[in-house]
Amino acid sequence: MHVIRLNNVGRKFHQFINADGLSEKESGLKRHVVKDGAFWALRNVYFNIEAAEIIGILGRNGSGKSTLLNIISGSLPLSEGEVVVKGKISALLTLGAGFQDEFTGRENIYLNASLLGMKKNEIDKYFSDIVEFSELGDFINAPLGSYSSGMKMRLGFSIAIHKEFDVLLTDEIIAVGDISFQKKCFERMTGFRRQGKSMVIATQDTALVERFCSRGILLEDGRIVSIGTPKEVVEQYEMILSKKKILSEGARSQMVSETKRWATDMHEWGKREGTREVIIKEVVIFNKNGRKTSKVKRKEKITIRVSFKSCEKVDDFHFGVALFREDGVYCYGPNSQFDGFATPRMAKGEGYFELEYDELLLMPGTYYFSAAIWDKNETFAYDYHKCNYCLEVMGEPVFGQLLNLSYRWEGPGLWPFPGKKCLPALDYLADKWGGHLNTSEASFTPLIFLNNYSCKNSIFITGKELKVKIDYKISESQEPFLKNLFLWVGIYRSDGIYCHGCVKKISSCGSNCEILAYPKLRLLPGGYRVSVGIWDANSAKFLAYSHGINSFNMISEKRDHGTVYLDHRWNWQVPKERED
Amino acid sequence: MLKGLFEHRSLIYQLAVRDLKIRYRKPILSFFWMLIIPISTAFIYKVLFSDFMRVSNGSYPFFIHLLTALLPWTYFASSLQTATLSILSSKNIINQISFPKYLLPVSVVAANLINFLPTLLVLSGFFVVFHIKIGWLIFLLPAVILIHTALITGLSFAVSALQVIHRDIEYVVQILLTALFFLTPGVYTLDQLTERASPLFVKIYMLNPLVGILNLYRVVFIGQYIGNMPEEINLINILVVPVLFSISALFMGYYIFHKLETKFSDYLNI
Repeated sequence: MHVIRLNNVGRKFHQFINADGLSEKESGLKRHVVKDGAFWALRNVYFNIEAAEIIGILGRNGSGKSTLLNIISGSLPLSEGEVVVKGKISALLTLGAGFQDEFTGRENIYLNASLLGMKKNEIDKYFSDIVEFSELGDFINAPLGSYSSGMKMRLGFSIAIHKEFDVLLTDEIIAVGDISFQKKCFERMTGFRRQGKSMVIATQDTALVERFCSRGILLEDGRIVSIGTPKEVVEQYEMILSKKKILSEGARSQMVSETKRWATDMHEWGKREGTREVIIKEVVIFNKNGRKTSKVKRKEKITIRVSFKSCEKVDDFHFGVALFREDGVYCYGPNSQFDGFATPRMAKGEGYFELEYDELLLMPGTYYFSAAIWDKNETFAYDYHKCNYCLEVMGEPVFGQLLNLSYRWEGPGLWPFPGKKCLPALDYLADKWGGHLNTSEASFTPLIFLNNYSCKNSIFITGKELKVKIDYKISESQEPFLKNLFLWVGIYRSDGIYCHGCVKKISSCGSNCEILAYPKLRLLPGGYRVSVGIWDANSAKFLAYSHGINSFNMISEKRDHGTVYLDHRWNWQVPKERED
Repeated sequence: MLKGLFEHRSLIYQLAVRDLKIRYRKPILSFFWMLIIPISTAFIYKVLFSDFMRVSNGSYPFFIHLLTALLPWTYFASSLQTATLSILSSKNIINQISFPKYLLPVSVVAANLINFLPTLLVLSGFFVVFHIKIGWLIFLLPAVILIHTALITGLSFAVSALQVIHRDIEYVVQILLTALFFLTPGVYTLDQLTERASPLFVKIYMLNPLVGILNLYRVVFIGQYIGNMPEEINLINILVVPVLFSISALFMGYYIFHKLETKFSDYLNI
């Protein structure tokens, strides 16, 4: 018998154009921003709160815990879904809301308790209990302004727990007052549990969840990542936390270091397979203006929307979209499982999912993409459209490069946009690593790779900074031809795919040092090789080069397929389950 | 809604008392200010309009004429002014506690009503001082107050909700209140208006529900008023218009409030 049922609960917050006030709230929080400028703080939340059940909600700051409690308590309206309540709720979310400093403690008890929904006679009945529990004594007749902050909190807490309730919602506020008062609060909570009351506790305290709760829920990014026994959920929460730590401390034992990089079988392109419990009905690309299109500009924001229909109830599914270049090079293939979203069960009906890329970091060319709805282990797809859809990035192709990464050359000097004039004409694919040519006119010394702390390194993390330090020498005899000379750097995948290249105009003869920086190198895990050369644009040949002798590795905290990590967001709407 | 109001009467009472206590706790004369202000205003207007500008009316003192207008007017104006900001100023409560939000403007009106009733007693005191008979129609006073309060409540719903979304409403309300004040027969008499204004203007003027309500207050208070009413006053503009207006304001206001209520949490924090 459940006391509260949450059915596909979601809460959207609107962003306003003058974002002064919002920026502090937004910054650092990855949210599901949707087209109209609103973002989902909470979405697709399903669960029941049974009678006599203690639920612990874990999640990092900003994961949506407080929003969830506010929604259950009714103080925040829903944007979608429903909350069915069969019982009285008491919420210990903010203590002493509506307290007036100029009123005495006694007056505040009446005011706050009536706001919480207590009737006059109830307040009269519990008045002395409230005063006693709060340990305020004679202070109860003094104005609230003269109280210490601890006293105010104690008073607020005492009022809230004296309301009759079936479900108590608390938000990390059991730690009120000194140790002895905390002990008293905890004892009172244990008392409630003995009386068979339900409770929902949002907290960071994993020990509390393991000891006190009967069920745990883990929230991340506004979605439920897992529901289960407190132990399981705590373990998963600690994993999420430690993942973040790995990145900051540089420990790499659990990091992914290899990535799937090619289409498995290009003969199958254009085919469909799947068990057809769920059928993909339509796949559409929207550009940044929300217009349907198949041609997009470089670095444009795009949204791929896949509408589907499910013919049966389906559990444990996930969505995937994979993007390939026309020759079969795997560009990027995120799926909702890699991204750690637990997808709710889906009932019969129609729904959609969307994958939104902030910036499509691909060079002009033709690309194909697949859309799939998979089962849990990716063994049998429900429906899988293999590269049935075409996406064209408009513009002139730039000599075989795959990616349009952002980079900068440090220090002064010109760095033209790599066009035909100054960029070496190179193939899509490089072979025979290790060639190098140092002449009397120009020569290279080995490259040095630096991480974001400017430390020499050969392993880098996806999305972090990488700097390449290039030392080279040009003899004085080249002085007259200097205007035609360019320094070129190219990054290749270890299998030879030319990922990205850029050039800088050489400004002087003699010993030179240049630093090329990728502020956020979005290459996916795997090995990469770097080639450098001095390109003479006039005679279209290299004066000197070093081809793939220097290499580095990329690693990441999370599994992905393809070559480049593209910032993306998932949104979905699955057919709702209808109960009763 | 009525059921809700009854159910939450103790909360409305608490909130109203909070408003009043905040207003009158600190000043030395505390509660008396709500009597002193309208009476002194009436006195100023009397000196200005009656003694200097020789505005006059025949059958009863001009001071009483002013007071019967100013007291209901103060109730109307101060309710609307405080109600406009009532949601906005309680954002800490709204975002944190779940309770029917329409109680906030209701409690503001309730506080002003509590403020208003004793002033009517003082008004009766002046009737004794000026030797004016209070008419037998005085038993209809609760009905008049009810119509008046319904109008105020409806408007309060609308402005309090709209203010959350558009913060300009506060100033619009100010201007409208000033305009309305001079569009009701407070500092002048109806006779003077009809003498000078065009007949069409007078017709439109008489459709102002506040004119009707003001006249209703005079009808129930001043014994001889009903016999000597200006001929423009008829049953329609004194009773039907205000009642219709009040009822529709109440429903429209509640409808607007209800529609905007879900957006509050988005707009309150910006």
